[in-house]
Amino acid sequence: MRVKCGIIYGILFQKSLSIYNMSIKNNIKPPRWGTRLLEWLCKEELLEEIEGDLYEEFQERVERLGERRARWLYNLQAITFLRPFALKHFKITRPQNSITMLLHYFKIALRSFWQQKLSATINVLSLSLGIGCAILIFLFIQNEWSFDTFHEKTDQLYRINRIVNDKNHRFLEGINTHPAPFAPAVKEEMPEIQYITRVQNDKSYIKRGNFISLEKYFFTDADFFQMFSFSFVKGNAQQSLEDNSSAVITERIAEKFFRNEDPMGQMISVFNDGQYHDFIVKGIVKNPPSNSTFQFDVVLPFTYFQTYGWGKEMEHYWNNSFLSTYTMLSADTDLNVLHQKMIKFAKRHPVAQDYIESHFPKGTYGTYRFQPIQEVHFDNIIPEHLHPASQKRYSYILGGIGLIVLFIACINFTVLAIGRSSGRAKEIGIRKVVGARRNQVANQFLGESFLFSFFGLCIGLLLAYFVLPQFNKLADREFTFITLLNNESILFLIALTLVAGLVAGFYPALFISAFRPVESIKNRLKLGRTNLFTKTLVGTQFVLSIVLVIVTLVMGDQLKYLKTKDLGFDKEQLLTIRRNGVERANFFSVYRNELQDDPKIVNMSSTYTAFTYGAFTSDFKHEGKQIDYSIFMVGPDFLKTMGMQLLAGRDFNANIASDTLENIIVNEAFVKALGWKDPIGKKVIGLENAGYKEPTIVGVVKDFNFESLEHAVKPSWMLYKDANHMNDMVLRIRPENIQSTIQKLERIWKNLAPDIPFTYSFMDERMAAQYETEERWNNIIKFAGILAIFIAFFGMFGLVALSVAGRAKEMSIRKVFGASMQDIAYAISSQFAKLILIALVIASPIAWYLSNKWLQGFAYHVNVKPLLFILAFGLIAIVFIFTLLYHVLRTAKANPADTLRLE
Amino acid sequence: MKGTYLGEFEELALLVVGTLFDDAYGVAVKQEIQAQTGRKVTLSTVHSALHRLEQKGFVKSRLGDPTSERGGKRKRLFTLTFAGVKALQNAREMRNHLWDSIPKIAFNL
Repeated sequence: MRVKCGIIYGILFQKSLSIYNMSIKNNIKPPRWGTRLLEWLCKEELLEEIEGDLYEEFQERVERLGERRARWLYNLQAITFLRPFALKHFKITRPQNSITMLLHYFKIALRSFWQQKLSATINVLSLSLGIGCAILIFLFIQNEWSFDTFHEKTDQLYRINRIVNDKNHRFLEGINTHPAPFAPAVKEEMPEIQYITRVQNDKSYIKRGNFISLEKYFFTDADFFQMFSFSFVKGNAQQSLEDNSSAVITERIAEKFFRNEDPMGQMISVFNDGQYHDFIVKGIVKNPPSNSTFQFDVVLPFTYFQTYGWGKEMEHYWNNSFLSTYTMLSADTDLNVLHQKMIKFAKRHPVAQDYIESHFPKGTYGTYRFQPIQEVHFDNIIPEHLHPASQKRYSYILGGIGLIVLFIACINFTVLAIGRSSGRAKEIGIRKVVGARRNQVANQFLGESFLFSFFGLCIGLLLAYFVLPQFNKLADREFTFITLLNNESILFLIALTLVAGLVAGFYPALFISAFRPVESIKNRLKLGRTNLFTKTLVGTQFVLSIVLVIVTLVMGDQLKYLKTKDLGFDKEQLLTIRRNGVERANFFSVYRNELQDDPKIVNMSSTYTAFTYGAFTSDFKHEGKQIDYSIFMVGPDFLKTMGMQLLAGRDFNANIASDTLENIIVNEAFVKALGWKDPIGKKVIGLENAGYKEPTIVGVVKDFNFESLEHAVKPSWMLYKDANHMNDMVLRIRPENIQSTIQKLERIWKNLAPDIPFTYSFMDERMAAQYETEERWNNIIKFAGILAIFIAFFGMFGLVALSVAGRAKEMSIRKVFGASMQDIAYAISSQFAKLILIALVIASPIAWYLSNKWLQGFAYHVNVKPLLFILAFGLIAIVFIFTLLYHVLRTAKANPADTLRLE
Repeated sequence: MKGTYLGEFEELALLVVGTLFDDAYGVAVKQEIQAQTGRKVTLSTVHSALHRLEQKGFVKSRLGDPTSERGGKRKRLFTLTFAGVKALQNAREMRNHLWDSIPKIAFNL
């Protein structure tokens, strides 16, 4: 029975529903949005006819054009009615006082600022420090992530890498440099390639008249400016590099060399390969933006590079890879197809085939990969030598630091705003009595917070402006303030201000708006007492700043260690002279003879590649164990010159013929890897390289760090050859008159090889340069640490002020009863001392963990010393004491009658 | 009050109000303008013109009866005033006068 009823009911219901549907169908309602808009904004007396007309038209359109279009047109039509004749006159129809209120709020905000200058200034200052910091960090990150994206056809630009794949087509290793004939060959054989350019970069002297200066120059193919969007101020991308003697210069060079003259058609000379070469300026481009991989001052035609010195023959050298090669592919290129074609290309034009065969298992093959240009900047596997590669990690760390500093600043704002509200309890009470709703009060305070964060933004911008030069040094960039004037950063600034205002003002607004009017007017409110919330906030500030301080100290300690650690050789006054491709076979021997009797030179030797310039590495199997090793080819007196210590056996001897054929010297690590007790005179079974087969060990040297201390010392062995096989000369010189020694060395060089530049460097500088990145990070974190402490100090200051104000009466009574200054100091500081202690306890393990994590990246590192923690604690304590001192003195000096009388 | 100058579109609207006689309201005027001149106009343009004309005293309006095809909303029906008729006549006379004063030769292009 019941079931039946249900069915009948259901049928009825359906029927009524379908009738209902029908009526809807005949009369589709216009979209609500447009109607609302009209109702809201149109004069009431016109509303009816307008709505009616629109309705009528809408129905007609539904039939003619369909519902979707009709709705769309309806809304569009509604918007067109927002014109003077139809718009409501808001002021007349409904009187509003929001503008007056806003002005009033603004006035009150400024008044309260004025009344509590100190706290308000701290407030704005700390916020502006945080914002300034965030702005700079934003600049950096924006720059990092926008590398090489400014080109018009960025999506079609690729770097070509030569890679080695295993038989399963997995990547093994790769480089980004190619031999000179590669680019023309690939352009001819691959129709996908629209443009291609080789890039040879160097630094050299540029001369005009008598004016000479060291600048960066590129040799590129004529396609260079057609692929990349470096905007031309004069000249054009198509023709500027067309002929052999043309040059394109940047605006900076134009200004530097030509001042007010027009450089076009004028001559400049570039020093290369021992002489000046003349070029005619055919184009001027804007300076390359800082987010460009290509940083140049002068661009010269590659065709010229091929006309002199060894450049003449390189056209045919498939075995000398030294040129970065970039290409622009046509828009419809299928990369997979192209990569397949490149495998065949690599077979037709083999490069370094012997290397692949001798270093990798069978089936391994060399090929090419086209890498999108945007990936180049972050590529650490195949770093670009034109511009140092970066790591995404850096952006994350910096962003994190920026957020922390900003967060600390916002905490200050919150704490101080709550503190200042105690003085405004009456104001809020009155507001509420007069009829302010809670959300109005909350909005008022939130608005004040936005106002403050806007002030903070202004001062922050100013700070950023003044700190920018220092920041540029830290970050190794050349930002200008104008960089900030793009859509992204303006959006960021607005968002930053809003977020800072919201984060900082949210809690105070809620807290303050909850005041009960009667209590606040009658002064019964227990205000000013620091509560758990504000304490937690300030505690967090201290935790963060202590962590930053300790990490900074540990980093500094490690850096000092890196620079002073015994490397197993003496890096002081050790000069390296590069051969720079002098062809004369016995050049180094002759050079050496010239210097034989010079008293300024203590020792000299030569090597194939001096330390930090890289090393040959390979591996072999010894008793079933794989040993990775490095080889150094050294000349006579190498150990003596480098100051390496022989632990067993003997040095190489030029008079023993077998020393150049089968004897080697190894380091401790090598012996350890072999697991031998007494290696002298033993043959190393299984080792075969560089023409040596199972060589005999004649000496063992103390381990030496030939690369950055991030890496452990590799098992290494040295082989002995005469100086003429070598690329680098190493000389130990006397510490006195180094300049004149170098001048003499250069003079002799000029006599022997007049057309080859003389280049030298000091080992200690090269070693130190390896830690540039670490040093820079230490500086940045130090900077952030100082900033954090500074802001936390502000916060503490505010918190103490707040607490002292709340306990004024208590303090007065204590004094009336005879409390001494110490008692007052204790009464004020005890709870904060506890807070700081807790912060220390929380911060220490975090700092310890982070420091260790960083140190793990180095094979050689210091241990985290407890002393550094004590140092950090001491620093915090000093800051703390100074913060308190002001308040203690003020309270102690105040007349108790003043506060007590206020009742 | 603005001047009583009659704009080109206003003149058109005024004429159409005249032709539609007792059924001149927004949509009707719009459709008539479209039908007669082929010009695409939006409803808001028509409304704005009609209201200007009313302000200038060339038309007067009253509200009609609500109908269902308008979602229960009333029409505002416009009719010409004496001043409106006068303005149209003036415009026409001026035009005729100008036509007459074009020398014949100017047409022999």
